[in-house]
Amino acid sequence: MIPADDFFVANAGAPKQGDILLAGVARLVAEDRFSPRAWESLDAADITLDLPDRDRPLRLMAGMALVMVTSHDCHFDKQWNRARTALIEEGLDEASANRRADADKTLDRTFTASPLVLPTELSVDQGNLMAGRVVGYLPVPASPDGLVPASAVDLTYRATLDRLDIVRVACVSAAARAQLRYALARLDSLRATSVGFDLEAVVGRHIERVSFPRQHPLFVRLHLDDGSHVDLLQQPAELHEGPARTAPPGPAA
Amino acid sequence: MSTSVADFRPTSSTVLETSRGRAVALQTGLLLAAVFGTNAGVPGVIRWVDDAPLVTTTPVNDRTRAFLSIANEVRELRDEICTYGLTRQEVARAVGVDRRSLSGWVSGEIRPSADRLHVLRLLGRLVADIATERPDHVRDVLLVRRSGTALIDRVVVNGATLLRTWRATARPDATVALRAAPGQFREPIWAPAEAALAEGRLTPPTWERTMRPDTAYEMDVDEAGAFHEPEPHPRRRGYR
Repeated sequence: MIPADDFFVANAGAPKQGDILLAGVARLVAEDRFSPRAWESLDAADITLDLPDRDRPLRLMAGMALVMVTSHDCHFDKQWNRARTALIEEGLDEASANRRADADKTLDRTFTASPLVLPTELSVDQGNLMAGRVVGYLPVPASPDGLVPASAVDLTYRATLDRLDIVRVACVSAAARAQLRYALARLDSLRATSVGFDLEAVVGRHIERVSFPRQHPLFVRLHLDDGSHVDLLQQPAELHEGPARTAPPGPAA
Repeated sequence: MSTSVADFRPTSSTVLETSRGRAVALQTGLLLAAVFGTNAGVPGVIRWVDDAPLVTTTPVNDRTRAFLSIANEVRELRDEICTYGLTRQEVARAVGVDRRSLSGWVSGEIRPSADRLHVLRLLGRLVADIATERPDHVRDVLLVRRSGTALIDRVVVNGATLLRTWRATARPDATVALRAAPGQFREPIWAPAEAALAEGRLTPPTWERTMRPDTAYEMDVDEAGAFHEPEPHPRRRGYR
């Protein structure tokens, strides 16, 4: 696990992947209200909704939680960038397009986050858990300010939140974000237990050069000495950020 | 079928009382002359006109009165709709005009088109319909965004249909039963953060936007081959 001094950074700026927030979370449950032991602390309220057009009620468990943002940084400005691009294509200058996009209250404000739970509430090996070896969990050290306890992000619980309804408790370093992205990829998509190997030894050829195909920007293309090539998928990484600007705080809708 | 009042030369008149108590003269003889060149030998003149109520035979001074009557109807409809909590601005929005135009209709300075008047009447019926079932939530039902579009912005295009379908698009009344879930004995891990929030030490993130190229939001699922997982080796059947 990354030491606390290297895990947390100054709490500032726009929302980012890995931010730790204070927010409400909720999920649907079945009639018997089954709740994994680790989530009982998140289930402060048991809500039953009798909808007029539905025979069976909807049941929710909800409560407050410390959560870690799982959506990528890009997601927060996705629709804003699309709207801005469309406005510029319609003929607006950049400043006007930014203003119009800032004023558009229909743009998506939602994102996903996963709650932090106490390691002792999880039925897994505590050593492996806090060493970051258990798929589905990301270990979090206790923050120096005492607001975040030593815990694990339970990535199997994903809640959708609104950007206007959160308070940030802590920001995390790029190294911690990298661990989060790896943990998300391992949980949701990558099933290979090893992603690194000596490629030349495996293919028996020398790598002459590396290129990035324009039509496939996610691939790294390795050109071998026999004229063939191998395409590798790039590892998730921070995108180079363009110029940033500050929009006026939107009124709570 | 219609005819111009300016070309109208009455040869005979029949005075009718309309539903609003206003007398309207149907000067049918000239009408038929205008259409057929003569009214001689054409029987059932009045009945024929009765069957074609769109034919306008109102004299000019009655036209003015009709104009004012429309203004009064618009005022009554607007005021009735506003009693359910909608603003005049929102009434104008629902009808697809600006507030100044709606005021012009009410004052009689502007005559609404038949289409717009029809939409306003539909809005009146829709509002009354919603008020019957959800008397305290008419404005909420009309303004809440479902699938990106509020009901109020669909009246112009789907007004008649909305009279039947608004219930499906409105947020349903839900009965909520709430109780504290069992097992909350320990102080939650978010308690220190909650206390810091109460002391004003925590704030929401800022609203900085980061401009990113379109390519940051594009993908090509044909590239998914890199994520292909080999199928598990099929188990042979029939041999042990």
